[in-house]
Amino acid sequence: MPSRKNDALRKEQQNLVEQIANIVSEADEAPPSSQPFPGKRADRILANLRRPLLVSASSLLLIGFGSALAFAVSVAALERQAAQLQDLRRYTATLEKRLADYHTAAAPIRDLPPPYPEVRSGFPDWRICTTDDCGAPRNEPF
Amino acid sequence: MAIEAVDELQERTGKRFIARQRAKLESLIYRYLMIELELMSEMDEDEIKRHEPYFGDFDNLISIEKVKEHALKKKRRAA
Repeated sequence: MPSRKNDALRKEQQNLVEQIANIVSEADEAPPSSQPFPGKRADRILANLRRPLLVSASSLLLIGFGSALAFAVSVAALERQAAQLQDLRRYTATLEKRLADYHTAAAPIRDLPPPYPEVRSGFPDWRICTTDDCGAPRNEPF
Repeated sequence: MAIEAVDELQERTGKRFIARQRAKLESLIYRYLMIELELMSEMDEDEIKRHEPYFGDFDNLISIEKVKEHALKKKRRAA
């Protein structure tokens, strides 16, 4: 009895498989996956990518020497620029100091005497006023 | 498992199933796997391990291992 049932189940399975096969045969072929570089070009590019990078010892030495030279030149240029910057800072400091000295030395001068003696003669009462209590001049020239 | 089986079928055959075909295939494969389970329920563990399900032209296409594992678990639980 179980054998007959099993046979029926097997038959049903075969039927199911046939239906599955029919559906699969009806289905369309999937479109080929798009490749970024189709054709021979892709193969060439991939081959180049897969090729191990081989550099000869002399090339390596040359590259190393060139890199060292470039580094040395860069360092020298940087040092020169640093020295120039230092000089500029020193010069700026000197100028700032001179300016400060000038500000302290240049006190406000009031009531300067007329510059020339012939002009001064017209101002018999002139004097240098160093304090604020000079008051009005005694002789008005005009 | 039926969904995974349809994915596998699609991958192996290189076909593109539309929704209607997928649904039909899922239902057919589900029924197929259920029958497998039923058949295996009457086997002992060794028989289950030896059992190689028939899948017509797509033999060895669908991984039945999961169904086998499931049947074995069921058998052990029942024991």
